[in-house]
Amino acid sequence: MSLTVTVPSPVSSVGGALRLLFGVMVLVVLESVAYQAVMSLDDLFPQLAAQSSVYRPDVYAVHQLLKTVVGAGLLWLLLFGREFYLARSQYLVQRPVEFSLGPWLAHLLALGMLLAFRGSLNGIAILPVALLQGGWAALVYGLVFVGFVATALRLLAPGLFWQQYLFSQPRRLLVWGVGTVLLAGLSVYGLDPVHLERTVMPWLFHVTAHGVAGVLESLGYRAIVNSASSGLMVEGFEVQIGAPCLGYEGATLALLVLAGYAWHRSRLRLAAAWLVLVMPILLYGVNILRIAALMVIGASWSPDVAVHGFHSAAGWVNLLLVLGMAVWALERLPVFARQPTALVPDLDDYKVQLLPQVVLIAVSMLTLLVNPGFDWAYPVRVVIVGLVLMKFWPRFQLQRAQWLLPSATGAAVFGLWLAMVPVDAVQSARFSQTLWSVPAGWALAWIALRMLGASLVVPLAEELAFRGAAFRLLGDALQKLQLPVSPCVQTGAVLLLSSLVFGALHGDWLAGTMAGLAYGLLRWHSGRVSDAVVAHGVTNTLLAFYVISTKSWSLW
Amino acid sequence: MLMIECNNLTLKSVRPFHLKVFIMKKLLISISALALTVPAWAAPAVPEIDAALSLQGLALAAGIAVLFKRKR
Repeated sequence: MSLTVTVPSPVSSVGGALRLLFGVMVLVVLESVAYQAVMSLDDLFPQLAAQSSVYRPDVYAVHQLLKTVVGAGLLWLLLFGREFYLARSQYLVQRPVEFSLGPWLAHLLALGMLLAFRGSLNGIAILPVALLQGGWAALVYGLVFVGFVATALRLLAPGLFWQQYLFSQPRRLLVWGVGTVLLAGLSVYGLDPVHLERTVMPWLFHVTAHGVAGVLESLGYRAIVNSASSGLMVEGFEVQIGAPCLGYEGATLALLVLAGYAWHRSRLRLAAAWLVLVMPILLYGVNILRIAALMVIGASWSPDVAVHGFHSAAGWVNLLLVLGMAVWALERLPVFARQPTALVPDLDDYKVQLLPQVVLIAVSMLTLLVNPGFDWAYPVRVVIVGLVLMKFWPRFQLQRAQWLLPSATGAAVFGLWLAMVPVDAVQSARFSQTLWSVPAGWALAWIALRMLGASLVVPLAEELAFRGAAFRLLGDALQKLQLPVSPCVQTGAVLLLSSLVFGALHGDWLAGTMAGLAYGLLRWHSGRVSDAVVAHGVTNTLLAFYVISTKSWSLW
Repeated sequence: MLMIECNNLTLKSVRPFHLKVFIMKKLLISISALALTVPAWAAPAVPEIDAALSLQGLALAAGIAVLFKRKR
């Protein structure tokens, strides 16, 4: 007789707790980056900025404490979002809540107070400085912050729901609370930015600069390191190695991606965790080689190529190569994987539609390594992506397009683009000067290939990716979540998400998103990707003629 | 969930689960991630970062991830 019984795993709570802790850490990092991005906005308002920002250790401690709690709360939603959503829906069905303006006004007021307080601390003269100098500043800031979070939670669901929901899982709440308090303590006492600026950054510079100097000297170059100015000089070509060039951002990103990957792949051995530990160190090493190569290019060939092209593009190429190698090693080598697997290209079904866009971005990045400034390498992208489109054409399964509605949509998006994206006269003049600095035949050939790319190759690559593959990928992902929403809402979410990504990859994200929405609506309406291709092609063709006829080159 | 098969009153673990290895792996990943990301936790803002290039890099990474699959 054979019998199968299911025994609850004794490690589920341990695993859950660790997962929660790790996730909180990830979110605090992300939240720190987002916060610093917001704070750097004062560069946009120099007329408001005071002479220096006010650094208050007590206010900073309160801020670190509270933002960790917010990060941990966001993590809760990330991990248990679907469960939360269902519980909230169930509660609201039983006790419907009518719309009320009060909570919205309270939240807006709290938001205003928070921004005024943070802005003033950051050197933007909103509140009187006297208010920031008293001993009550930290307490006031804490209250403002708590008010902001409390009003946000109130908007999300009624207070009674929160009470019932949070205390329905006391053990989970306890683990979350303990993890959050530990991280908040670390964040307040261990990660003071002023302290880190004086300790970690100089040490990172020392390691990086002397590593680069060692590589350069082995190649026969004479490198001079200036620790006082964070500078490095080779044969008259001097660069300052700023904090972002030290490689910690790439290493952090690589580490988070790898750690997340190793975390979720249950079939990996313990050695996988060691690889996660070692890979960022390897990335620091590769970063030293990148800066050494940059110095050689700057000293021997072109400072412009070194600083404006190779610098950033090589960082991303390094990161992708190291990550790719790490994932390959985790899957393929028996020392890491219990059941080794090979990573093979997957161009089945709709995924092949993503290929031209991926090739387009990859070639853009590779050409940027040696071609900064004017985009002379554009024809290279047109040719390579054109060849990919031809090779895989039958597999895209594009249906015959209609012309009237797509053309009208394309023309409307062209008008929208002109209304939303202003022409930069200085940039246009610089573009024109560079373009006509070469023989006229070359310039005309470049314009012809630029038009061909904009009107045909790019619309095909982008629409296949965003209105083809992305629609399917996002749709499948949303279906797996099994949210209790109508198919219409799901399609709307797919449309919005794919348009936002499309917008983010274009120069003007808002205009790009609007254009993406228009093409996506067309695809939704007709069910054909080819209609979106026609609309996109019409927009870009009209734009190309407009650019050439009015010399508004900055729109290219 | 751990599946245990009962056959002729003999308990046999279908897939052995190493609790120590499991916890060690998770702890090691967490601690290394925590320690090595310290500079990014509180480093100054870096406005000179090329946002467009970063978005392209992320999109490329995501695209490549979709275009590969595991095969035994």
